[in-house]
Amino acid sequence: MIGIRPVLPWETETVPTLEIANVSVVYDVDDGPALTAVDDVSITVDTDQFITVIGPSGCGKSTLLHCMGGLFRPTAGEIRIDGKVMSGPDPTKAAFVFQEYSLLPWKTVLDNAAIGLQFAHVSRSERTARADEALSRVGLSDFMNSYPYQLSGGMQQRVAVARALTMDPEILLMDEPFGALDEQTRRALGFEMTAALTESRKTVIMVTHSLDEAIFWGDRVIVMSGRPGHILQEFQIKTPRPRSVDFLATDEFVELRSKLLALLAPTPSAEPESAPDSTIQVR
Amino acid sequence: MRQGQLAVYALRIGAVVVILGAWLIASGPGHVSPLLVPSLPSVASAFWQTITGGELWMAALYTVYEIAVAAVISSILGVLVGFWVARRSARVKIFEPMLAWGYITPFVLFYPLFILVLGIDFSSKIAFAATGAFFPVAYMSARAFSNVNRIYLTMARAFGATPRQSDWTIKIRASLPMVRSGLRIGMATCLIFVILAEMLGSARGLGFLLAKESQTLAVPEAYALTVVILILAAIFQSALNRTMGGDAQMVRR
Repeated sequence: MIGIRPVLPWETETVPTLEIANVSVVYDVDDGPALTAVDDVSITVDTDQFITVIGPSGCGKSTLLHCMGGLFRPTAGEIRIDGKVMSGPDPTKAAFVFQEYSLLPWKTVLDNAAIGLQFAHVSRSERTARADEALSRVGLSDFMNSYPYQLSGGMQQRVAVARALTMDPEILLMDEPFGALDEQTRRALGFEMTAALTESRKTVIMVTHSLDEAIFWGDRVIVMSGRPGHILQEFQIKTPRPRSVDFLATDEFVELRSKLLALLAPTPSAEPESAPDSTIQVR
Repeated sequence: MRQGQLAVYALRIGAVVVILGAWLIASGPGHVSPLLVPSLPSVASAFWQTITGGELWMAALYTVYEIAVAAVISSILGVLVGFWVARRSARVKIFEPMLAWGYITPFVLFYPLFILVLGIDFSSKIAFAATGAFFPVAYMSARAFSNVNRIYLTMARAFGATPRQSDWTIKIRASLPMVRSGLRIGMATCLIFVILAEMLGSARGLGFLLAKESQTLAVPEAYALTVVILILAAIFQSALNRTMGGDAQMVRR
């Protein structure tokens, strides 16, 4: 009989899903001084967390997201997923849902959803099975053989979510995924997707412009400053996900919304030195 | 839809009737010189003689052969060069304006040089037409390959595509509609350039026949040949439409 070995203290320590360690991104600009897009950002994210990142236009939040997905290499610092440094795109670790319509117009919904598996030389039958499953998760199994131009904007973005889910990634990176949609569609889709994503138990990082979206979706809201982008403040949201529409009327939502509004208000001295109720870091 | 189609056909037939009517009036009561507008019956009989004689078909075969060879050469070279140029942004900067320049240059200026170097036989016509057609094909291909929507390429990279997969799955497919229009322009250029070259300096082909009939004042025969060339162009156009019809419905909005 094999005895039960005691668990050693260092073995219980879990590696965070995503670690962003002192990341800076500096762009070289033609005929001008170098531009610091992201300035010394550090974030640690555990499994299953939904992180929303919000900040003014050009604050480097999309750049930061692209670094997390291995599309950009940070000028300084490191990004680790499951303890491994991201040196290039790996959609099984981090898969993107882009802001713009990025479906290939000549491919069917099914083939679009399976594109990452096609690049990975997965057999057609397995591709179809996995893409089919992801598409039914976002409620599009009836449209597998349609072409993108036959779908509404909201449905196209759902395909983009399915395309990312097909890769079964550790992390979903969502770059203002519903930014191009009208308010009504955006909200309806938000409710649907928040349920689907909570169900899929993925770690999600979502960049958004919308305060409501940031609070409604997130477990943590990270607020970034204007250029050079760094973390101004971070908020935790206690109400568990998925949240119903009633959450929009709770004190937690309303209070946080007004705090975010104040933080992001376009004033000449936009960056407060130290904001009240700061839970994590203010640089 | 069907009614709309009928109306289009009716209008087309109407246009032909108007042209023929104007022709009848000009050559009859209008008293226009038969050197300018020969009578319809004389053109009809010349047309019949032309299409039943052996000379036309040999000439047409020769012309079609020249067009086909020039089209194949210019298409392959044009697409390859366009792709090569589009691979690097520096090359786009250097070569795209040159290709555009070649596109709008009146190449007929250089035809005497082609004859000088390659003689009056078919090689000079093929080289001339292929050179003229190369530029629109290469220019359009370079533009197509270098202007593929960035988001498709970013998406492909994010989803693990190797550069080669990105080229084959995304770039080539996304640029297809524009490459196709380049090829269409190139092939039309081949048709025009071959017939023009045959008219200017050749001993064979439809263009040569047409020039010969015009110069010997065989006006009805010249008109009959013009009709033959128009029919050839229409067949050519419909073949292009059939093989190069794009996927316009795939383009968003």
